[in-house]
Amino acid sequence: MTVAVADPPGVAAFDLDRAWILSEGVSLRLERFGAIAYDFRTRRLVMLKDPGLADVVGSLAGYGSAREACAAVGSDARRLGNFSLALGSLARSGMIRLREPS
Amino acid sequence: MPTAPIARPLHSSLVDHLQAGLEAPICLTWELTYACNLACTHCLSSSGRRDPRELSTAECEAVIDELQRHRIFYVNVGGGEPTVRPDFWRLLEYATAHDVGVKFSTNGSRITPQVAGQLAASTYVDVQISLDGADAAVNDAIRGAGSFDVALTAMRRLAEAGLRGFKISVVATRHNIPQLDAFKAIADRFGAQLRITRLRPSGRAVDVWEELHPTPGQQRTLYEWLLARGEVVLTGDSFFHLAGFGSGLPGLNLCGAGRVVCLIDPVGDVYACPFAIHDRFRAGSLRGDGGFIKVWRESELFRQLRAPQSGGACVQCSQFDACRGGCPAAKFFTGLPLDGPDPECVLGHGATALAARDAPQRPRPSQDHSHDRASTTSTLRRNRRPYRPCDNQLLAEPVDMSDVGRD
Amino acid sequence: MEHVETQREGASPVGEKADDEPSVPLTPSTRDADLVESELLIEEISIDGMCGVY
Repeated sequence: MTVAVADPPGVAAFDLDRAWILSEGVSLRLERFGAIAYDFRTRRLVMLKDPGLADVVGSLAGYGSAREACAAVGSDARRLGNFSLALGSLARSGMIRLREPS
Repeated sequence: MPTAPIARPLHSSLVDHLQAGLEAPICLTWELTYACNLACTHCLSSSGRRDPRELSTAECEAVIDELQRHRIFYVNVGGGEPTVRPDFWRLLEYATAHDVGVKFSTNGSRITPQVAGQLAASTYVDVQISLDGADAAVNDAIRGAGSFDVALTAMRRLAEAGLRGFKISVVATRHNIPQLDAFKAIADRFGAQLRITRLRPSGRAVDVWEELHPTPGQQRTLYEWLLARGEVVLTGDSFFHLAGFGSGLPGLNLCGAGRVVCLIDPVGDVYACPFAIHDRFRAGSLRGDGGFIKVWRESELFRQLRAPQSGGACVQCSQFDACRGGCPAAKFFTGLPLDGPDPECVLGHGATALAARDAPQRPRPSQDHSHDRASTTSTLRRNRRPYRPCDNQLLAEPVDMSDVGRD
Repeated sequence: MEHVETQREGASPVGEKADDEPSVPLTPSTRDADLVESELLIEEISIDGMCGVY
């Protein structure tokens, strides 16, 4: 029987249970430290300073939820919280978007 | 009480990652041609005459294919004057169609109203107009008679075509630092973004740097002015040597040469940066097997630049963590050792070092594509006659000059 | 530079919380101290923020 564990605070700001995808016009380039992402439309450039996070962002399209993408790289509650904050930041800047409208 | 947010984020690990090198540059400068229809006194690439070994259109497209393959996101296309290449517009379209974002730097002489309209409709092209004075007197003393009018005309055409946010890029000199507010007014007038950059003693500037570079007082004025406008005025991170004044200006505040950026020159040579066009900073040629990316990843020069650098005498300075010893190109072309202070060190160590040089043995640029190279003496270079439109034997088609100077 | 969202007041910050720390509103300085690790995963750089591009 699974026990429902509350997500760390702040996770609620980013909906891990929705399907996400890298936005059109965004290019993700893997690096040894993680990745660099560039949005051609806004000229916005971000560094993803964690290889696991880079893998999550790069694989979002292949999972039904961001939570599953995070689980695939292995994340405890704390790491999930950090990923969630990072994903929320990417969502706010438009670099990732929901696959289906709300 | 909480203080203001930390101006410099805790990103030392990021700086370490970037200094150690990347799979490919984040962005780079690509000088398409050494040909130019101007003869600016401070030209960092000593441009003027086309080099007969220039990359062909096909070779340029192959370079773009490689940039796409390795996800180099953004390229600053310059020269010389890139728009004097007949295939410039074709290459621009090829780049944007192949996932390479382009900013091109131009004197504006080929920005016709029609071209301005096309640029306004393009999503992935940024335009940068060069300007070195807020009036013709200051500007044309460096860039040649008529060049101010040509630049302002281009700006007006871009604005009228609805292209907002194009860049106006200024090289800060002794003569234009009093005009900073006026530059901002020009940018505001056209809906453009102002960019102020550092004068390096590179290319033809080896001869005019000592009379053109800002005084220490002006340097401080410039720093304060930029700091107050960090949200709106760009600098291309060219003033990280001023970080010793206080907080760094926006940007990485480190030398990106060979680490996050590099230069591709018109004949396919790869240099650490556009301010270091000299054999000392030449990493290789993309015409070799393995193309550009092999030079980027495997050249001996870039390996050296990505290794931990010795700060030399600067390591003991209280400001070393901020300025990292300044700009290697500035040091090199003023004859200073690379492991010593920047010639414009804010604490004055550079001035001391300059005075202590033995009868200046400064490096000359390795190549010189300037017009009117009758002699190699520096006096003749400085007396170069001003640009006249009829000088222009490089134009492939006539420029619409009917509304130049209307502003 | 990306900023992390301000947390709900009184909420536990992500990451280790020292037992002797009182709950305080997350002002920028406390937020930086507590959330340094997560804030470091994303960092924005200006495309114009790299020296060597004129």
